[in-house]
Parts: sequence; structure tokens; C-alpha cells
Amino acid sequence: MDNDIKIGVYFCTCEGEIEKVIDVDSSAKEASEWSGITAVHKDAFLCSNDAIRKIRDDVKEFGLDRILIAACSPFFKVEEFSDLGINKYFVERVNMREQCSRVHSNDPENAAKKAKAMLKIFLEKVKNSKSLQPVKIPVSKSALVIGGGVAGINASIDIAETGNEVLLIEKNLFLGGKAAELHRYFPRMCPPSCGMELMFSKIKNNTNVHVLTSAEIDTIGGSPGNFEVLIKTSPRHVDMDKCTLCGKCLQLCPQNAIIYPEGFSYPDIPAINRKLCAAECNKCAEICPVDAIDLYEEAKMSNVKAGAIILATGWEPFDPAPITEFGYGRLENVVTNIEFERIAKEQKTFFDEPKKAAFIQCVGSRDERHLPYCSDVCCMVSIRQALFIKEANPDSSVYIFYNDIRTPGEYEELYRKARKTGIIFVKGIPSELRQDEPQKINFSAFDTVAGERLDITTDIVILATGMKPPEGTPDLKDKIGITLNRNNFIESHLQCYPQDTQREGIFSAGCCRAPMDVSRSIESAGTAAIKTLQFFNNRTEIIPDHPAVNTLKCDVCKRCIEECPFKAYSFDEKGFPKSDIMKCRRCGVCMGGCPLAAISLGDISIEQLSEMIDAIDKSYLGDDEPIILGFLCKNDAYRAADDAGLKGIKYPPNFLGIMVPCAGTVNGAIIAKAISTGVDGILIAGCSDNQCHYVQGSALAKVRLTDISNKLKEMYLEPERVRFVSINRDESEKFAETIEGYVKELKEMGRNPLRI
Amino acid sequence: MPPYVVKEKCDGCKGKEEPLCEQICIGDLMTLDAETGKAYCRSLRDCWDCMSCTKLCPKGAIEQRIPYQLGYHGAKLIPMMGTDSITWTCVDINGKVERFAYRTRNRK
Repeated sequence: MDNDIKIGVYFCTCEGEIEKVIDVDSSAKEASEWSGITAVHKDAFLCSNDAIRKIRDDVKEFGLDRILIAACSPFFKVEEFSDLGINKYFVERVNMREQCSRVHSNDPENAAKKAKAMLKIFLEKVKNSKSLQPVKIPVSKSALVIGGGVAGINASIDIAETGNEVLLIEKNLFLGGKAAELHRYFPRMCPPSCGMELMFSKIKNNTNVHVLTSAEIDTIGGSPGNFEVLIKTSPRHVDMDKCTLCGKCLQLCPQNAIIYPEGFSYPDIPAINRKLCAAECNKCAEICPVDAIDLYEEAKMSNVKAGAIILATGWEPFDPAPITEFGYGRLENVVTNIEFERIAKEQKTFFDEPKKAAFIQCVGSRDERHLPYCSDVCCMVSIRQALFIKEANPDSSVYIFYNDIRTPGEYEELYRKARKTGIIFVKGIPSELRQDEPQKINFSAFDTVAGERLDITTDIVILATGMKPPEGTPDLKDKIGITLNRNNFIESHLQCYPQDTQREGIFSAGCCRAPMDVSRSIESAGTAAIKTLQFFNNRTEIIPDHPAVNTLKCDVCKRCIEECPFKAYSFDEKGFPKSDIMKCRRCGVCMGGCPLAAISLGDISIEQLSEMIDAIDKSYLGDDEPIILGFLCKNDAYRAADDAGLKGIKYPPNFLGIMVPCAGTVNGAIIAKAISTGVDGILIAGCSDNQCHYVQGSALAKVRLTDISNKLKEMYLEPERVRFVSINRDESEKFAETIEGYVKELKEMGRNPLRI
Repeated sequence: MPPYVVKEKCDGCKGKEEPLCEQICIGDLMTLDAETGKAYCRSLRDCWDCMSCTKLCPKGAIEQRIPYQLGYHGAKLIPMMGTDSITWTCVDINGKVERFAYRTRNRK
């Protein structure tokens, strides 16, 4: 530490709010005697323009290197204190109001002692702070959208229409995905061709959208903002630019190997299925008047640069064959809902005469053995399909066998309509399906509402199968490094960042994240597009406050690489772990996990924390009073503590709080140091497990604390001297109670024998 | 007497190529059991009781059995490493506990 550092300490009385508890004058006088303090000033409103001007003048006059502001919580008046004429990382806020004066107003004497202790701690922090300058990193403002279904197409259009380049890749020959195969969408019963045609024309007319069909991701490298993607394109054998759609090849082909675009398709260019081609047959290539056919075209690899990636890989229908009692694949006229969709679309004769049909809901869904989740759309799909039959022929009798009908929101209208039309809903799933007579299906079911057994003979049984993630998802996971949830859908923080995957710059849209209907897919595509644009915008200037590894200490144990929730770490050219500034989200889980305490975040380092602990006067409340050092997570616990201040909830002044980005930031060595220098209790407060914004920060903090409390037990110290508690944003009462209870316990335990 | 690895605590240092105890051991005695993924001392009689591995282990999974010349069964020596501090807890055969906290110079 440089002893010549000049520090200015500025006190705010908050118009008496702080002063009525703490004697700010005497604090200021005391502070002015500490070494390194060059300027001390007190103001009734430190956030006023005059006071800010005074600070800026002082910076110039005294040449201040660091500034300490003893006022309200660092979450308030951020803007006001952001530009004081020195690097903003040289300015430290001491939370005098929310975490001292307001919560200890019943005990002014001790509040003043705590205030002094807090000042000393944060003085040490600011002394050891580093100046951080934003760095400019060029971000390629083009997006890669993987999957050309309804979500992918919409996301592409949304991004392209804001003037950014998009590359949309689809593994099939044509865009449209599963939605294009449908007969009608609910709830308005529009045919997909209508909306799709509009989307395709938008794609065609927008020069920012580039489409690659029959293309798949080979590898993804680079880092967010500058991904380098290798794309493998399978041959189509027809040159898209040359083909005029004359159709000559189609008439000629003896093997039906030409896949001709139907109705509305994009691209509206045929393709050739070489697997069907007869050997040595070259007829189509010969007849093509524009020379568009190349039967010997090979797969191409192309390198693409993309700033961000949107995953819209969609879904696959669940295969009901493993559920043997429904006889799918064994019995005729047992079809899945997707197959029935094709019947509705293509075989109009099916609807010519009245039919007897039965729908079985939740086939494989909400079943631990198959799909443990609800697929969200099957109820509406079945009702819609039942309506196709009923509306074509009102004499048809249609049964829907269900566990629960789930038609949320506007879709309830669909259900009501179905009931009115005379579709029979039976609560109870049929047992085994049989075929007693040709072309018919027989089965029995127990109607649990009426309490009677039904024996039914139908012409067709439609199995309402759910959605599952596409086969290739685990493979994609390995390539991109995203995480999947327990159902193999792409994981995200559902509440706060539904569109963000756990990797920076990679977003998800549509059914690859969770089962969704068309309207929700389109919605999620819009959100993913917005997130992508935000990413392009926000990432031009970055503050390098990401963790840095002290290579003099690092032993390359790789714990940081393993524990980083965002896979931001890789080895640098010297073989040491290095976090990618673009991938990192500054949670500091690596800093907390490093066994050698060799990793520090830019704005709160191991060294700072260590010095801060040294600066604590362990007996600031007297020899017999225990003290608690609290590490409060920025997202929840610290704010709950601030809330306690705002509400004026009282807790004992034995608690000193330090804000950390995540509970996982706190290193074991820091805790060990605090214990061995005489702190009586360590409290780490973070979010509850499944709410941690950094995925596993809280969970890891708990594991680490267990290790330390085991160690304390071995040392014949009380293992309860370290404690993890989960405090949510709104649990300020719980926070105060926790501290009160902990102080009581620590008093019973007696003082830390290591306190001198 | 050699270090004893508490299997339930050891997590093989996650990276699983060379755990910290293997890196720090001056005699190159500690290594990972490929099957269990846990560390062990491969040559018990060669250990010098330097306790480097015990101090370094992030999980606190390594216990040191003190040589009988220093303390008979029941005696323990437990280190706890802070950022720039080490605290020794010494337990003698009668269960008497003494603790010593020192400042170290391993901060930078």
C-alpha cells in the first residue's frame, strides 16, 4: 500500500437523519486525525449539486486519490456520486444511514462505535482499490439464428428489421419447422400458410437476412461478441440462383427423387434426394434448361462470424410406441396428434362421413417414466382437432379422455366452445386398446366423475403426445457449452432472464426452452431478438472488473474452470486459467472457490477483503460483546438489509456488513482469516438455492462453509461460528431476526478464543 | 506418520489431473486414485510430515497423524490458512487445546 495516498472523507448528515443518531462532527474530527486523510467535510445534503461541486473542487485542490462517502446505501444516489473527478472505482460508499443510523437509532452510543468501525473498514477498502478504465471491444453486430421454425424466423426478422445482419440456418430443406405442418393454429384457427407467407416475404425482401438451409453447426469457437462458427451445408444439388422452377425435372424423374416445394415454401427451389436416385441416372441434369442441377455437389463448410447466437431448435413429438397399452404402431387407426394434423390437412375424405373418435390426453406427459412435464399445448390441440371433426360433421361423436384439461387464459373459450358443440369430456384415461373388429378400436375407461365404466368402440383414436427437446440438443450442449434442465430443454433463469442461456451472448427462443404454442413462440422470439440487440449495444464498452488470476500463486488446479457457472474460463497461452471478459458475469464464484485465494474481482479483491478484516476493531463494542462479520449478496441480502434500514427495523449493532456480488464470492481463506483474527461470527447471506442469479453461487457457498465449520469443529471451536443464511430481497424482518438470534447465540458461546 | 485423506471430504480437486496435494507434495507422494477420484498417499513410509498437503487442502480433507515422537495417539495438529494468516490448533494426548495464530507472508 502506498502511504502517500490522499483520501477525502465526506459525511452526509442527511438533514439530521444520520446526525440524530450518530454525532457526525466528532466522527469527522476523529477521522481527520487518521493517517492519509487529507480532506474531511460534512454536509447536510451530500448529494446536492453544491456538495458534489465541493468534492470535485477538493479533488483538484488537494489532489485527492481516493474518496470515502459516508452517507446512504450505495444503491441510492448512484448517478450523483458517479462522477467526482476521479475514477469511480476510487470512490467508496459507507452505508451510514440504512445499515447504521436507522437500524441502531435506539442505541446511539453503540451506533457511533459501529460507525467508526465501518469507516475504518471501508477506508481500507478504498485504499486498496484499483482504477478501472472501460475497454472497447469490437462486437460483430450480426446474429446467428439456429433453427428455421416459427421462432427462428420471427427472431431473424425482428433483428433484421432493426438494421442488423442475421444468418438463419435450418437443418431441413425448407424453412417453417413444425408449425408449417399444422392444419390450423388455435385460437383463431388460421391456417399456417397465411402467417408464414408473410414471414417468408419479409425474409425475401430484407437484404439483412441470409438463409442457409440443410445446414448444421459443426463447431462454435470465439467468444461472445465474436463467435466463430463453422457451418456444414449438405448439398441440395439444385443451384438456387439458376433454377427457374420450370418443373421439367420433376416430370422426368423416374424415382420421385425431386423434392418439389409445395404451396408456400422457402426457399421455393426444389432439392434432390440422392438416396432415391438410380445409379448413373443423370436425366434431370441433362434436361435442366438452365444447368441448375449438379448431382455431384458436395457438402460445404463455411466459416461465419457472429456477435450473438439465438437458439431456436424447436421440438420433436414424443413417440408413444413405448406405451404399449395404447397399441401405437400395432393397431390400425391409432394415430398421434401430429399425424392427425396431417390427416386434417391432406385427407379431406376423412371428414366426409360422421366419425366416432376418441382423444387420449397426456400420452407420456406428466409421467415420470416418459415426459415428467406438461407439454402445455396438447389440451388445446386435441380440442381444436375434435372441433375439426365435429364441425365437419355435427353427427360425429367425439370423446376426449383426460386427466386435467388445461386451457389457461383465452383458451378457456375454446374449451367452452367444445363443450357447447357436444364434445364429450371424460375424466379418466382408457386402459388397453383392442381391435375386436376390423377398422374399429375398442376400449374401456372409467369415468371418475360419473363413477361408471364406459365401453367404447371408435373409428379412430388420437393420442395427444407431448413435445420433447430435439434429439440433437445434448450434442448442441457440448458444442456451445449451454446447460440443459432436467428435461433436456435449454436452461435459463425463468423469472428474470427467460431468454438468456447460461452463456453470454447466447439466447434461446421457442420450444427448445420449454413447450410453447405458436403465439408464445413468437413472443419469446421477440424477446430473444431484443436481448440480442441489447447485447450488441451494451457490449461496446466494458469495465474490466472481471476476475483476474494471480499467476504467481495459481497452481492450475482447475477448480475455477470447473466451478464457473458460465464457463468463462479457459487456459491462456502460458497455461494459466483466464476468464473471458465477454463471457464472465462477475459473480466471483471463482474468487470464492480458489483454494489459494489467487483470484480477485476487479472491484473487490482478496487483498481488499483481507485488509478490511485487519481493519476491524474486534472489540469495538467492548471485550464481551461478540461481533459478526456479514457478507451480503448484492442481489438479495444487501438489499434486504437496506430495506430493514428504510423500514427502521432494529437489530443489534454487533453486525458489520460487506457487500459481495454473490454469496459464492467469499473465499474460505477470508473466513479463516476473520476467525483467526478474532471475529466471533461470520454470516454469509445469499439467495435461496434455486433463486441464485449466478446459478450455483449460494450452493457452493454452503458447501464451502460446511468445510470450514468442519474444520472449526476439529479445532475445538464452535462450528456455528460460520453460518449461511438465505435471505430474499423482501425478507428484511428475517434479516433482522437472524442477526438478533445470532448475536444471542454468540453471546452464549462466549468470545472467540482467538480474539486478542 | 503419513497424511490420512478423509474420503468423504476429498473432491479430487475437481480438475482431476493433478490435485493440489499432489502439486505441493515435495516427495511426490500424493496422487489421485483413478477409480474413486480421491487422493491418497502412495508411499506411506516416505512421508516427512511436512503437512504442506494438510495446509493446502481446500476441503480440509487431509488429516495429519502426528509421529509418535511428538505426540502419542490422541494428539492432533490442525492448521487453518487465512489469506495472510495461519492458525495452528495443537491438541495433546490429554485433550488440552492450544491455538497459535500467526501472520504469514504469503499474500503476494
